[in-house]
Amino acid sequence: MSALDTLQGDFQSYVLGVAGAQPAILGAVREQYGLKADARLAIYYNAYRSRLREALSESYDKTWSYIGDDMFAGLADGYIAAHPSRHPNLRWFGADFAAHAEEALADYPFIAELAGFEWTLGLAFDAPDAQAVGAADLAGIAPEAWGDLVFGLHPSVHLLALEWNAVALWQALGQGQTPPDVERFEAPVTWLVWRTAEQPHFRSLPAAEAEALRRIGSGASFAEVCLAAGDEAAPQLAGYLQQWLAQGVLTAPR
Amino acid sequence: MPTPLTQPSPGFGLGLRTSHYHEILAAPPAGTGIDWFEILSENYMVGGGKPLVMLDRIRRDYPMVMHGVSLSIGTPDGPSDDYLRELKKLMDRVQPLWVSDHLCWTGTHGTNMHDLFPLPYTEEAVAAVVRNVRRVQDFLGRPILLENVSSYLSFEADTLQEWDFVAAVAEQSDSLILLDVNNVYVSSVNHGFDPQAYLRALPARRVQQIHLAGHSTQAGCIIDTHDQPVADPVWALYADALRLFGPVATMIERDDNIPPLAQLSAELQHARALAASVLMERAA
Repeated sequence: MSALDTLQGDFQSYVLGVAGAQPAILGAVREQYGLKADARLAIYYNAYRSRLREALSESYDKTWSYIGDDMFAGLADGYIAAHPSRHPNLRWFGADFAAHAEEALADYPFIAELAGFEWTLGLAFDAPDAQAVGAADLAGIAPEAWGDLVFGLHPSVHLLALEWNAVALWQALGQGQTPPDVERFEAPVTWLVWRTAEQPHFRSLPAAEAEALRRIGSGASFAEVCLAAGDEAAPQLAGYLQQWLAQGVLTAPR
Repeated sequence: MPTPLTQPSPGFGLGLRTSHYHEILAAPPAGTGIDWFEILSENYMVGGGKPLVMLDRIRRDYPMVMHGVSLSIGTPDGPSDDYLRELKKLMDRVQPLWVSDHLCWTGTHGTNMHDLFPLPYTEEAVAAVVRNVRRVQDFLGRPILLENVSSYLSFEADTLQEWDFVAAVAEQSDSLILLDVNNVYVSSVNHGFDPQAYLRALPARRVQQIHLAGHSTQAGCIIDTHDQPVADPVWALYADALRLFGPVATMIERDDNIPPLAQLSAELQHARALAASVLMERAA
């Protein structure tokens, strides 16, 4: 190992807070006028944590508002200690924060759901661009050809199943209102999150619509989606399709 | 006088920040007092959506330069291929005047610490950086600029002064310099060196761009916080830099406590006026 490599390894271990890492790096830092070497090192140690806390606060600002400064700081510090960043872009640092919250705050699963919803909105915001397909694009397709169409989901589309009223919490917090009491649904509700006109949108889905979109997402043809839904669901499905085409949820069939 | 290796200065710019998008688009480009924008490369290394829409829209009206924070040019293994591919992809989209990052390291063994850590000023570190810069420049097909960072500590292992380290890297790797005047000032206070000696040691023909920014004073140290207007001693040092290096593309960085665009533009006009008077004096 080169001297440079050793120095960087020691420095990084110290900043990450690895137990027993301080003496090695302290011996490599020069004592200078004005501020002791350990205080100079501490500037980097503290800046690391405050930068990552700030990144999490930005990605999860509603979760932060909901649980308050102290609880959020505790959750963030636990996450920072367990998940050093592996990505060049700070944008992705918080990717596992909802999963962390689910484990760390197991008694409050709605907090993890709120965090997961926030992250999903962020994913929709800067997901890859793609041309959405509209009703006009399909006008020329013969009725008998419809069954073979395999639509795609727009890259910004996410289907998020939530057991709690996390979205209502998010909405109240966004409007500066007192969030409602938490409430668990009888069955999980699937939310469609997607981007249109450069902004993330979301709406809750009837179970049949959620199921149809999931099938489209896994590559089913339109005939397969109809078959799975059953004959009696056909008119409903036509209504869903109209909405998807109007809202930019699908990409062109192949 | 040695031939300059730099492009002519495009004038005076600002860092592009999301909170200014609407003000930028609402004004005719000739009316903002801003000649060009510097983007933070990583902010636009995303799939799509509004960030890239705004980038393309503003790029139509303004020249841009790209400034990264995650190259980690001072880590022995050097930048990852994935990162370089992303950087190149963005470069092809933006067609920037130039591409820069920092003379530092940001993490090792696959971890990104998202900070600009100081390097030991040793021949070994010069060699490692030079090797990495050559690889990056070959990959991108153009010279890169490296910015001097502010630092709060120095290493026992140092055998060079920081300014000699900066100059050695630039000369040996045939790269260019992004001179952060605020960082020179901050480090001169934190380490007790003469900032004039720093400037005089730099190869003038390699100074392509200047950064100005504000800092905060804390107990025993000055921190490079980018959350304040440019401080008076930094303006004075900027004037000294222009006397040495002539007209150099200059921009103001503001990353926190961000005021409205008009206020930052007014600060930029101060840089413009100061540069005009210094350069007139220099020509006389």
